[in-house]
Amino acid sequence: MTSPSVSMDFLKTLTGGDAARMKKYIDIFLQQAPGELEQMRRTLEAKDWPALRVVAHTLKPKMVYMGMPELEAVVRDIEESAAGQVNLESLPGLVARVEEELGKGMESLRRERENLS
Amino acid sequence: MLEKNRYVIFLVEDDEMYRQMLQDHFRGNFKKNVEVHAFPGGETCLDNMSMNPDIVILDYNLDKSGPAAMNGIDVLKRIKAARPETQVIMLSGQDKIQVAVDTLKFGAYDYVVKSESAFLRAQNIIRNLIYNVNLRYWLKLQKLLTWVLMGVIVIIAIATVYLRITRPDLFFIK
Repeated sequence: MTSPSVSMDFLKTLTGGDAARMKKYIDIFLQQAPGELEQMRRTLEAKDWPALRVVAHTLKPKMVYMGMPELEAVVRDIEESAAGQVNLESLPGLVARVEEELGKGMESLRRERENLS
Repeated sequence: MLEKNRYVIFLVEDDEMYRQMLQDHFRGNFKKNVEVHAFPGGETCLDNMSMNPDIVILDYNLDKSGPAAMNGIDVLKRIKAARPETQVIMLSGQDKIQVAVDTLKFGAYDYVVKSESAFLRAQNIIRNLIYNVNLRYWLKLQKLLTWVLMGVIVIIAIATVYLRITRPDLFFIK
């Protein structure tokens, strides 16, 4: 999968192009996301499926809001797999993919944030 | 007072980013006579029910702060028990029929899935709720005015009959 370039369309529509608001939401996300990724890793290692479901559930809509809709599907798969405790063997691969792509997405978000006037 | 001049909306959402987005969105779209208060959990929302919220936007999953946190359904039940007239709109990241059925069964007014359109859908539901409240107040006013008018007509009729009997000269009747 190629590096996702984030789409700012949702944030622009929601905020009416208000740069200050867009920056605020991006800042909150950039602050939260590393901790949530770390939590995802920890709960996967601990095989704590209910906790992994909670993290995935929290992260899922943010992928759409931060302009990474293709990752939303991956996180949804993690959530459903952890919730039903099915296809557990696919989880390490899915989590690794989220880590990699979200990392690139966050870099794109930082660049977009700098471009906001 | 026959029309509400102030509406109180509570937002109950444990994720900071989503809570901020909701709060900013509703404060920006409901400027006139609408107060928006945001809470990170069900417990703080329930502690503030004395503010008599008209509408509560309530997250279905409030488990981010830990398993001991009250979940959305429990908070919904407590809100409806404390103030049945408060309308609750549930927000959830799950588009599952059972979740929707559960929330409506326990008294939620509506159920909105956290998607791109969630903000507009919630805003539209709130607008309709406020419109319905205003409509009820206007109907009450209309009923009151109708009774007042009927009362006035009856008084005029009685006065006319009385005067015709006692003061026929006033009516030029010979």
